[in-house]
Amino acid sequence: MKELTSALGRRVLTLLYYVLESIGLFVRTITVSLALRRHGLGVVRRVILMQMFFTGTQAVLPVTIASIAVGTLVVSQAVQYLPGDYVVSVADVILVREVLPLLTAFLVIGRSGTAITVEIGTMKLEDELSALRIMRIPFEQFIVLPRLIGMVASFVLLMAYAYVAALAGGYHVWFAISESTPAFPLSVLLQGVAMKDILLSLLKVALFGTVVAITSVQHGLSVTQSRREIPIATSRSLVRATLICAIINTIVSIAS
Amino acid sequence: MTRDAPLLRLANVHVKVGDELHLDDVDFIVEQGESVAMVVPHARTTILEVAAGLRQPESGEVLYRGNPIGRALEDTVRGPKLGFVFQNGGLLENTPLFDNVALPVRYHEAPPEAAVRERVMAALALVGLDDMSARFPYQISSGQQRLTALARALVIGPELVYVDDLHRGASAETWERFVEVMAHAKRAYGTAFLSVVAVADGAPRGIERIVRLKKRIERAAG
Repeated sequence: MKELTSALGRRVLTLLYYVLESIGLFVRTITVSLALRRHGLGVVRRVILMQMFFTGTQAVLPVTIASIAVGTLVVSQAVQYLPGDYVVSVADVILVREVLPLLTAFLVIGRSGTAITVEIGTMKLEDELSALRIMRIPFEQFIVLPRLIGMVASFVLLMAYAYVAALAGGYHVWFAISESTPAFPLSVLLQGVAMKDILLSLLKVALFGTVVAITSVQHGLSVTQSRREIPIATSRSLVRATLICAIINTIVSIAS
Repeated sequence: MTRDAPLLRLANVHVKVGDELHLDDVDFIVEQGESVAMVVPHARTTILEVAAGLRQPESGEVLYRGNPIGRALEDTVRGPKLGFVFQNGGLLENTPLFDNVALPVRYHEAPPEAAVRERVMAALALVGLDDMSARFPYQISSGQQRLTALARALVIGPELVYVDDLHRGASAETWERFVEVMAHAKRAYGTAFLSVVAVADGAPRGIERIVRLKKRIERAAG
């Protein structure tokens, strides 16, 4: 019993230490970046745009496929088993508020979050981060900030895209498959989603983007000596980011 | 910064790797424009990283013009102009050579792009790589990567450049180029060089002073 308590205590302390380190990295990134001079803006802006491009474009196809698949599932079940008035509400609550934000997060974590962890871990081993320090280019400005902004912006844009893909795609695919006449036009489905729920889902994905960026970078930094640490750090990053996003999703949904 | 203080001073520095003490009582200075090589049997990269402020010593301090070098590196406005040629170059892998060399200029000075191009191509020409500016680090040899790192260090007119394992990956031609470039940097910018070599390499050409580092116990044993 004593050993179990001790082990649990160590786990809790490790988790607490990890959370404090993450918050510290986030706060340092914001404060150091506020000191970014005009000279450095051009360099950092270029990296931000590259990160947005890679994160966004890499995820478009998987988000499209997954959104249409989930959208078709939700529309088909709602149309078959619920009264007409409830179809829009179900699409709103289940798809827009709950499923699509998490779905987008899982896909981006798997695609881009892991890539960031591998990249940062490799940069650390290959002295690229040390080279930035010697050049007096803050790591927080050049590495963390672009990934933070790139992730949050990409998440928000992907979420908006996923919303349209899921509803419009799901609507057309279901009614094409079922060969039935739609009981309502697509516009009813799209316009029936409450603005409050759209904003809530965008808030969620902004938080997810922050978590994924910070978690991915932090695990990349945990690589210290050998390339063998990189896959371990990457899988830890994936699992932690996924769990944290799921917890945030629940908290935000309940609190709203 | 104190202008009368030596450019770099290692004061009673102890260096550990893991739990093992590798060097102790490291105490020497580097003056402006000097080329100094540390001859070290172990932990060569570690002592150089300590001297560059990239790693904390176990004890002692490293002062740049009288101020702790670690703190100096955090000053993005008035900090020292330093360069470092890492063993494998330390270039940004997903960035062409041109943009690698241009990075410190763009970040700290942001001159018009035409001026950036002129300075970067001049630095690459100095190391004989101006025809490879569009290539990525993985498309060139390790010796060429180190030369590119040297160009990146020199493009800002540095006061001090650190060179890890001076002879590593150096063909005769690369080594000749290194010596020429070091002499040019000294004339043009008054650049000092601090490098680290293995015991067996002896006194390299282009180096004005050798500092032999050993553990106290090894020094006592003669």
